[in-house]
Amino acid sequence: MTSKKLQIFFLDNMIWFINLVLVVLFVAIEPGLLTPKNLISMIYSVSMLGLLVLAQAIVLISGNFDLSVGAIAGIAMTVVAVVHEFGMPGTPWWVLLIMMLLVGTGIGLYNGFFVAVLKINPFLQTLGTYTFFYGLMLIIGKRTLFKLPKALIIPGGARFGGSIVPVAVVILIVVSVIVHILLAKTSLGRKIYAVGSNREAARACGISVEKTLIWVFVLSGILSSIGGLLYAGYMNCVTMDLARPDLFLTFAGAIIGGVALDGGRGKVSGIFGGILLLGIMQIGLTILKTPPTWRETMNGIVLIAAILLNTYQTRLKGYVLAKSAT
Amino acid sequence: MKQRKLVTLCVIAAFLFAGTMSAFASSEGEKTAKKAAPSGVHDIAIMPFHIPCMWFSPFTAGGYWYLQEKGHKVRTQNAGWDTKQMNTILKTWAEDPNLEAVIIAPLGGEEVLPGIRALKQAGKVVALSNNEAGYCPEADFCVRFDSPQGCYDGAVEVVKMLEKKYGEAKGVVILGLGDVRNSEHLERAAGARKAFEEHPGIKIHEFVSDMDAGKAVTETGTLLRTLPKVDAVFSVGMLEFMGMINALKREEMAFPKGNPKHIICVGMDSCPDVINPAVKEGIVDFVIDQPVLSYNALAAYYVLKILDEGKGALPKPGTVIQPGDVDIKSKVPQKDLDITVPADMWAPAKVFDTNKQFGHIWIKTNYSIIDDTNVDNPALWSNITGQVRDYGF
Repeated sequence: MTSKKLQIFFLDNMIWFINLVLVVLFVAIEPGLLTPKNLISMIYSVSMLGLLVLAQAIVLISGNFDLSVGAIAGIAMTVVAVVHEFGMPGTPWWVLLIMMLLVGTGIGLYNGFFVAVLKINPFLQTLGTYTFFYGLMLIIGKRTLFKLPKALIIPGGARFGGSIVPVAVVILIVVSVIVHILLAKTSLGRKIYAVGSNREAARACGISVEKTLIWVFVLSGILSSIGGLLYAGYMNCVTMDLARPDLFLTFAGAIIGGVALDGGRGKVSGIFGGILLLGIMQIGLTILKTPPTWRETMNGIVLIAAILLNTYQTRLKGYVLAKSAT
Repeated sequence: MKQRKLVTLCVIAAFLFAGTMSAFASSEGEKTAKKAAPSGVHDIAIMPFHIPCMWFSPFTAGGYWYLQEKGHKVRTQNAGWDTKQMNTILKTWAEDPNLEAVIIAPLGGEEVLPGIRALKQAGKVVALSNNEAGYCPEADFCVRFDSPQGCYDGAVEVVKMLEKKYGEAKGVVILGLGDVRNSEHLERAAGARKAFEEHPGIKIHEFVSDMDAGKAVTETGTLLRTLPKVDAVFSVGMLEFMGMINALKREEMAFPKGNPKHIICVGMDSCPDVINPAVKEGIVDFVIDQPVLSYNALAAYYVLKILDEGKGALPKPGTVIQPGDVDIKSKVPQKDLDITVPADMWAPAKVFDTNKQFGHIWIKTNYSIIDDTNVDNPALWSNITGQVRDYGF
């Protein structure tokens, strides 16, 4: 590999180097951190958030926002838990699972229709969805719901056999691979990038922008509802503010992972790196016994640094390529 | 050039970050190394719901100061009002082989059970304080006062005041609720509601503050302006109480006791700001006050007992614990303050067998009624913490 290629490789995968440096730094300070369980916890603790980050990333790549990812996760699981506990007790778990996915799909469709067809600003549209569905959760759920079928706890709460590998981590990896294939290898993926880069140019190329955007929000809804499943399993219940504190982290994870806020750029390997960074910080700061009053600030410092580095990544890449061309 | 600048910046940032983190790690070590005896030192964690909070900081401090003064290692973290975050921290602590016990404020109730179970599976001693986590046999014991009962008792007193005013139990009451997503707050609200609903002549108007003092000002203000007459306001928690008092003042309806226009004003939790001054002015009739600084000191005392002598060292159900029975006092670790905490207002504490209901015993502390006759008591946690500049965590 030539020096130029190495530089490009480094810049393309900067988030992974940042993660590596952070882990090495944390381990140097606290060698006790280096246990398989701690390392797996770093990704397990953010696996449910990871699904929402992936959902957010797809929407961001298309040049939109989705403030309702957490609300979709919450309402999908609330519907499931209410049906299971009060509505139709005894409903098979797989029916509940389909119901959960349908709720996610339905709300995604609703968001997509309003944004793509009725041309409502995505920020305002999804803000409305966020507020409405968190409110609706409270009306139909009323309180934290604890009765869920065991099968629906497994994805977020169980480990594989006697191993230390949580099911949620595997789900996150599998879903990430699927999203990667969808974005990088399918025509829908290419359309999403095209719409996010330049909507009018995409239209001129014959891409149905409206249809693509509806798909984007449907995908976001589906991924969010799966995220809700993992949240519920992780906490063994459905809280009435499920995923609510994580909304800003969905943006942070995607942007740190190299997704452009104005659309058209971002890849799953980077997004996965961004998700991992959030987990490294979460577990690392606890193990390092960071004073609780400092926790938020330390998180902020690393996030700002990562965002800066990733922002300059594109410019640096251009600089390296230009230099090699001359 | 640009590349060099960026690399330099990265290196500086990494050094700064590493330096700060190392400083945290070493200062943690120094703190305990200086004070701790070489053997018999225990490593204990306190898990509050939210650290930078005028309620949870003293709540944490009670145990933190006590354990530190006794020479033990003590750590805490911030869950930032987030039960998922709390579960993650508890699960991470479960993997720490040095950590022996955790005292948890499971404000999210059963939502925190996965974290608690992880701790128990890892063999840690688990104590709950402030509130329960549903049925939780994984916890060895719980220290708290009966907050739903406290709210019920407070509301009964309000009913009595209304009876005195009208000759019968009637009137309009604004009931300020906290976080309706939170089981603890729901139970408190149910306690107050039950007392009022026993009297059909009393009409309740409820609002939800989401534990936001600002929202409580708006909601109370709106009700005060809209309802033709309000006889009493009652709050189930500190932040909404602060908002309700501010609303009374802003609507120019804050009249002291004795004034015919006085609106009965009662709530849960004292506070050095807003609430205590309003008690002093006579705007607030009384406050139902929890022994915040005592919860974790008591919990830490019994956690140490379990670690040193086994679970059999826990007090038996029916035992009444008096201040002289336990050594839970410590000095506030601030040079210019000569204050010993906690005061004895937590006593007597009675031990209940709640194994069937909660899966462990309950050390039920007392609570205090604060009014204009005792609001200046320097032993009140709110008067102590008003002077504390740095809690040390």
